[in-house]
Amino acid sequence: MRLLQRSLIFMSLCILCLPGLAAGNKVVSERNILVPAADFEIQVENKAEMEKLIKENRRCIRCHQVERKLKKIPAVTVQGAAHGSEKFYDNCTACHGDKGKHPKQDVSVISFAAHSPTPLAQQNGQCLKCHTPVELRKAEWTHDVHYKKINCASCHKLHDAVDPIINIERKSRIKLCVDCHHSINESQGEL
Amino acid sequence: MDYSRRKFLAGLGATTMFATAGVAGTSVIQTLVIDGKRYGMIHDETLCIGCEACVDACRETNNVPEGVSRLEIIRSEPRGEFPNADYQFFRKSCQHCEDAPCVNVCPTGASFIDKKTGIVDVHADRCVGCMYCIAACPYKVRYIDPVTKSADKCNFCRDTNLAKGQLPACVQSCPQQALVFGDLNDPNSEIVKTLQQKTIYRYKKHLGTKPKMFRVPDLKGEIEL
Ligand code: SF4
Ligand code: SF4
Ligand code: SF4
Repeated sequence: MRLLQRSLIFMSLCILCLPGLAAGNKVVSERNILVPAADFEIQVENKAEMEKLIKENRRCIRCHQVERKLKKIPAVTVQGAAHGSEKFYDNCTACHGDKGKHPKQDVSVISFAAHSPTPLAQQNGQCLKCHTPVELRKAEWTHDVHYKKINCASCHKLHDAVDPIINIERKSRIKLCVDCHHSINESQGEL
Repeated sequence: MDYSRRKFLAGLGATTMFATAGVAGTSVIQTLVIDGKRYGMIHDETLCIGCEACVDACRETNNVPEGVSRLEIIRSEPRGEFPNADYQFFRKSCQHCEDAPCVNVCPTGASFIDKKTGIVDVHADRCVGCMYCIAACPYKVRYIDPVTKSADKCNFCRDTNLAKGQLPACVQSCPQQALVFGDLNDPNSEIVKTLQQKTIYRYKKHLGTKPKMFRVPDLKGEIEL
């Protein structure tokens, strides 16, 4: 319940703040207007909430900043400028939610992948907390037709230095459409 | 609907000068009689995803310079609201009209209908760049090639892929099999079978150009209850 409340606040604040943010932000290219440089301030209303956020994120960092050799879990980094934040202790929880019973129960953190135990709607819902449908459409019309069908993480990689899909070349973009839709058509009836 | 210059002249001849009516009439018939194949194409708008693979394949295969295009896929405004919005796609390219205004107005014979295939094409070396055809084409698909300075447009890859015995480049490249190409005179061809099975429309058919570009309409969401 607490989580839900938080996310609702987060969401409503996001919507309120986005136009203001967009105005004060440098626009790199037409396609990059999608994301105003994330202002994570909107997540917290007061000091107590900030302290909780820091505490939660420290718990993530404690385990994930180095490689867990035994289980071969690589160290996690946030390299991309858009989603990393020093002040908010990398802000893992903004997307992944609080630690909860993780790692004993995998489902207690939100994870982003096709094979993730987190349902598709919940994964993509996380992104929608900050990115409005209007901005998504403006950046790329195909958001409209894929949002309910594939997870955002199929194309977007937020832990990489550069999100590989942003400003993709026309040729590679068409190849992506062709390859993906071709394989969907091939596998029809087998799924 | 009878707009063709030759037919107009033929009609004029028939009412005023009987002697020339027969000659002018023959030239009209010559442009329409096809011996052999009669190629046409279907764009299934229900299958198309708007990827534009066809657009790029056409450009590469037919050496179409940047800035002009034989083929465009026009995307509609979104239908419905996020996350249920979707789009319609319209293929803009030559319709290979059987009664082709571009051919009828061409003063040099550069624009022609190939009698073996029914394909509407342009002899680049005969084109003088007067642009009559560009003005006459109701589908607005013709342009002056900035390199050859000749009028140009889709020719069903007549001199490229078809000459090599392959399907047109756009058809080959489509990941959705949204494009069907074939001989309308052959009752066993895929195109004729598809035409018999699916709901079809032709763009601006009422103009009487007899376009050989057929479309399967993507109408979902058109009627809201
Ligand atoms: S669509 Fe235009 S260019 Fe093509 S045959 Fe018809 S009139 Fe000519
Ligand atoms: S048939 Fe050939 S020329 Fe016509 S649009 Fe397709 S690829 Fe281009
Ligand atoms: S390649 Fe096929 S699916 Fe893609 S835009 Fe062209 S017709 Fe549509």
